[in-house]
Amino acid sequence: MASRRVSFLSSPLNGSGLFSLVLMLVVLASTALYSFILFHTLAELFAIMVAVLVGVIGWQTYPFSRNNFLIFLSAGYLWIGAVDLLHTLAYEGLSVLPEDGGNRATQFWIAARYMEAGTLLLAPLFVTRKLTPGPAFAGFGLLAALIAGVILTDRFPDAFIPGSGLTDFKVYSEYAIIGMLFVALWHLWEKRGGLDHRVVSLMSLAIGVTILSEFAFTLYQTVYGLENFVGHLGKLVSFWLIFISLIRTTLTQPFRTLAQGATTYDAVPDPTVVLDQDGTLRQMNEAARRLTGEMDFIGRDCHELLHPRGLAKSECPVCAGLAGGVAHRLSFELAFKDKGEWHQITLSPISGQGTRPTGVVHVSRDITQRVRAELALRRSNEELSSILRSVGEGVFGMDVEGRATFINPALERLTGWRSADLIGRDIHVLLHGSREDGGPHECPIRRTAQDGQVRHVDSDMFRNHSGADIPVDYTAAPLHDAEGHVTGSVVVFRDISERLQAQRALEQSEQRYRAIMENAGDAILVANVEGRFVDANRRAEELLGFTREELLELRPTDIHPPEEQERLAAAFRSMENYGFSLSEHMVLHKDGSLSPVEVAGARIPAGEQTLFMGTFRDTSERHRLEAERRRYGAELERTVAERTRDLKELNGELESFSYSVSHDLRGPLRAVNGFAHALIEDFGPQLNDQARSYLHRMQDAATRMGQMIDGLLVLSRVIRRELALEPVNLSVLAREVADEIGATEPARPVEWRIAPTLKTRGDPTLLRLLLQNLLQNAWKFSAARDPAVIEVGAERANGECVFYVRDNGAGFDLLDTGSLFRPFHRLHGPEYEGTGIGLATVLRIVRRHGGRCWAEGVPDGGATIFFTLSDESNCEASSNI
Amino acid sequence: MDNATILLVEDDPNDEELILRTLRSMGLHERATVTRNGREALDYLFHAQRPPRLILLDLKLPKMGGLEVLQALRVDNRTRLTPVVVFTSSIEQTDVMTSYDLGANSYVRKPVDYREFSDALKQIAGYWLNLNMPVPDRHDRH
Repeated sequence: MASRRVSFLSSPLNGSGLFSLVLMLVVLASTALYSFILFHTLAELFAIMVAVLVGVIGWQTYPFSRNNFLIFLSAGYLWIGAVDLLHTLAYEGLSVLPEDGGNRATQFWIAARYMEAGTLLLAPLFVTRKLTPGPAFAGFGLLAALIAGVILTDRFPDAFIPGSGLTDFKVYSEYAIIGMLFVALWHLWEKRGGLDHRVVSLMSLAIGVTILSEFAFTLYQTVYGLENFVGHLGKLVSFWLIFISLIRTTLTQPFRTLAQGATTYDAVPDPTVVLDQDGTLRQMNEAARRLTGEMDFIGRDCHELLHPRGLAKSECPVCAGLAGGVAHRLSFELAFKDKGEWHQITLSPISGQGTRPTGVVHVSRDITQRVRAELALRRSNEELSSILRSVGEGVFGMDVEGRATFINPALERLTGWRSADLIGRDIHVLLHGSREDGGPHECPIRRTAQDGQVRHVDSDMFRNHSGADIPVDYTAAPLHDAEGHVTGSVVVFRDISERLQAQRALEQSEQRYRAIMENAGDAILVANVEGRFVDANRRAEELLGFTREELLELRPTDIHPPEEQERLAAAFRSMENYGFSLSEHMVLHKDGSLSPVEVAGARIPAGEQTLFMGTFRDTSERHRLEAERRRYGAELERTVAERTRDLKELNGELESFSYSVSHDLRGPLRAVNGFAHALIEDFGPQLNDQARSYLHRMQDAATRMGQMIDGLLVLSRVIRRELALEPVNLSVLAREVADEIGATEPARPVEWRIAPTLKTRGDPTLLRLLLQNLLQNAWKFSAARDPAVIEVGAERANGECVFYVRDNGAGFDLLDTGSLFRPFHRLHGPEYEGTGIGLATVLRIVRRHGGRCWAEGVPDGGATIFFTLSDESNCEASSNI
Repeated sequence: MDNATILLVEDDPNDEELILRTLRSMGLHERATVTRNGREALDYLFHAQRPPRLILLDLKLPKMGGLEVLQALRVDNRTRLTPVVVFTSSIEQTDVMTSYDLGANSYVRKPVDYREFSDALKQIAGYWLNLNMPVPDRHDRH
């Protein structure tokens, strides 16, 4: 409907518009055939009506059009119409005003034409000037009233004189008006730049038609003539054209703009609605209707139709925005969970008069794609940053100028730098550069940031926060923008300290292995399971005469003669099954000679594979030495056998000697003693005292000699006896011996002082003999004392346990100590019994126990015999009490 | 008591005389037979109608040693239970042990001093020859 009106208004001179005008003119013209005055009246009235319309429309549309040119025209034409009405009413034959033969009607006419021409002449001034409608209308009204007053009071020049026709004033006025109209045309053309070109055309046409109709009026003789008829038609057309141009500016254009707006509004793909301030729907575009599926929307609430279904109005941010009053553009993003969509809702105020908004434009834009893309991007960014956070490698990015753009936590951890310390700063200087061997331009990372080449560096140094070097390997890759330009580089690096350490350790291990191999005293050959040598040391080269390279071409079977192959296989089986082998082989030298070797084989795991290591010891020398040793051994054995035989003979002889001594020497003594006894017994009475005394002496001597022989026998037994060592409690033993001795003369006053914890390790039989001898001695030599004190004890001297037997008896002179322990040596006279062999026996026993023996004494001041025994002696006198 | 109840195996005439002198003092010398070596001793023993009541055996004897004689005596049923007192000069441990191992009833070393010699012999003879009778000392003690 709007569009049809637009087409009617936009083409008033063609189509139905032009047809209507022509039809109206024809109807008007046909009335002239009936009555000219009717025609005149109708034509004038019609023109007046148009003039009034022009005035009214111009007044009413001024608030929108703000067109000062048109308001001037409107005001002018309204009052031109008023004057024309007076002209019509004064027309001859109409009899409304007093008849004057047509002068007054012509006066009104000419006045109206002056007004019209003046209006058209001045109007272009207001293309650029401001004009207030009220005063303009009032001004023209005043002018019209003034004209009416002047004419009605007959002060206006005569324009028509009945009988004589038009006055000169009238005729020249018409020419003046025509002149004014030409000026008006020129003036319009001058100001056409500020007007719609179609308005200019219509105005020009209107002025042209007015000029033509004025010419017609200059020619008429009678007011009912043809000229008058054409002039009035022309005037009507020109008014019509003014009207059209007014309509064009004030109504057609805005309506077209409005119509264009409406079309655009429907063409907007986003659902767009107009709301009242309270959210009530007023308008909807096509997209909104499609979105809501509602045609009957006016007056409904926008929340109901356009906001998420599950969202309560009280919680809806858009409705909250509406309730708060939309003073400027507001934008919301809402999720439509039921539809799986996201909408951006924009609220924009529609301003009425003043600043108070009269409505709100509510635009819903489906941003699901964008939001999804954003979410995906965010997720992808989060994933990326979580990857960056979680990787163990240090990662940083830098721009073309080498400034750090991002840093991951691993970098912070590895280098001690904080992200904030690095971002935006020259990372090369801080982390990488300023080393003497490479400036920034040599830095591969920098170069990657410039030329876009991926670079990997196996071994380099980064510096940590405290300035220490970190060995690293890194990869620098370029960063590109959307156009593919290099915008920087990203670097992923690892701390390779451990790898380097492992590498060094491996190298050291390899060196050690090599050193062990090369410095080993034996030849070492290593073979793999395929039966090839994989390693050999220098001694192996020396042993076999092959170079290492030659050996690595050989197999274990190649270095042994054919008859050894079976045993070689056995050795390998042993290594396979038990992990080692030990065997003797012959090895084949490069020159074809053979030598004996002792081979220690071992199966050694070496990663995935198994190796067999053989250590070859050349036993040629050993075999030679063994042969020699065997020879010497045999000789030695022979010698030992001889010596042993000799010794046995000697022992045997000694035994038979002892036997003889004990047996055969005693026999004669017994005879001497026995027959002396018999002599005294049988022939005593016949002998004198001296003879009997001699016989007694013989007896005693024989007895003593028997005792001496017994002593010697004991001594020889001490020497010959095999020691049976065991722990011996010397205190107990001494007590027993003391008791035995004491029992021989119970009446003697003897005080025994025997330490209670004397212990040692020795032969109990010999130790008893030792104590018997010593205590017997002490007993014997202390016979004169009352009381006799005999002490058995021990003391520690020089870390050694020294036992002693002390008495308070006769003592001896120190000068005699050297001979004290000799057999048959006696220090004392016949007052002390003894064979002189006791201390010799003591010395022998002590020595057989690995100890020493010595004596202290002073004549008549007692004697002490000291002796040591084994290392296990205990002399802590108080430890067991 | 019949004659020859003590067989003396002793090669030393001095010892023989001293032993007989003691036996004489005990009134037993009539009943003693003396053999001068081991062979002679065995001949006597294996031909005697009754084994002696006591054999005083020296160890060092010509022709056959005392230990051999002892061994021979102990394997023969006629003399297996006859009391044998080894009466010798030796104090060798091996002699003592061997003698007892071979079944000697006593081992007494001949003392050099005649009084001791005589006392020892009196105790031996008194004990073994009066075995059927209570030994006064022992009896008294009981």
